Amino acid sequence: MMHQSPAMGRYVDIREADSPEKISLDITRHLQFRASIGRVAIITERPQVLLGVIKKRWSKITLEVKKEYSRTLQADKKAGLKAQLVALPNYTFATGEQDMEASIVFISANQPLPNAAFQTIYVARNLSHIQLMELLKALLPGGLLVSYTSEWDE
Amino acid sequence: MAVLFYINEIFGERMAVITVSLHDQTSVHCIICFNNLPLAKATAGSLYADGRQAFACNRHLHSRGLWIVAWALFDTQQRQPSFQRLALAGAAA
Repeated sequence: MMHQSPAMGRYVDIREADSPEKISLDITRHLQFRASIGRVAIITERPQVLLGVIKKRWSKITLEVKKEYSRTLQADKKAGLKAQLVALPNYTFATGEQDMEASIVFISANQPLPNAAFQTIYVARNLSHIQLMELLKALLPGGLLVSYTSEWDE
Repeated sequence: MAVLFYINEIFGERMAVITVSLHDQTSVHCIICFNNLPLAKATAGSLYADGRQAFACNRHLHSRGLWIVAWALFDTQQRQPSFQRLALAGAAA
């Protein structure tokens, strides 16, 4: 078993999704329980477009949580789902140019990121090694980088 | 297939250090099915009350209802004062 102390290194998750639709779906599902622990950055070629898609999917997630809430009888599960229903509308979405302090920020790869600022970074485009290293530095200790490519350009 | 791995330290301008841990046999606990699994087959979710990273089997992400309910329940349990006291006691021991 892994018994690492909190807040030490970084995690890297290389995930598979072979189309922009599958990437946005995977990010949205995964994001739900990462956004609660700290700020999130999503690196994409078209920040404004992906922001629109993920906000739409976020509405669907809220409906799914409502559905689960209404069909669950167990008190502790109901309490958990209710907490989600309270939290989900409070996350703020913005491009890096609009508001770098939003809970979930959509950024192009060329935009510089502050060091140790994000708990999670999703990478939805190809990057160079150097860009990837910069992203790792933008993660908080113990943070997670999720990449939808495992091929990094020189 | 998704792969999750852990980087102990970031140094230098190149990624060579990261590939070292790709074959890591580290085992983690799934908060959904409660089985132990290799880190490579897990995905990271929210945190335990003591700040440790919590994991779930990557395959559960595709079972929407299960994923939502299990993580919502986990988060609520970790925020309860009794869990936080246990976590603090564990960290102090």
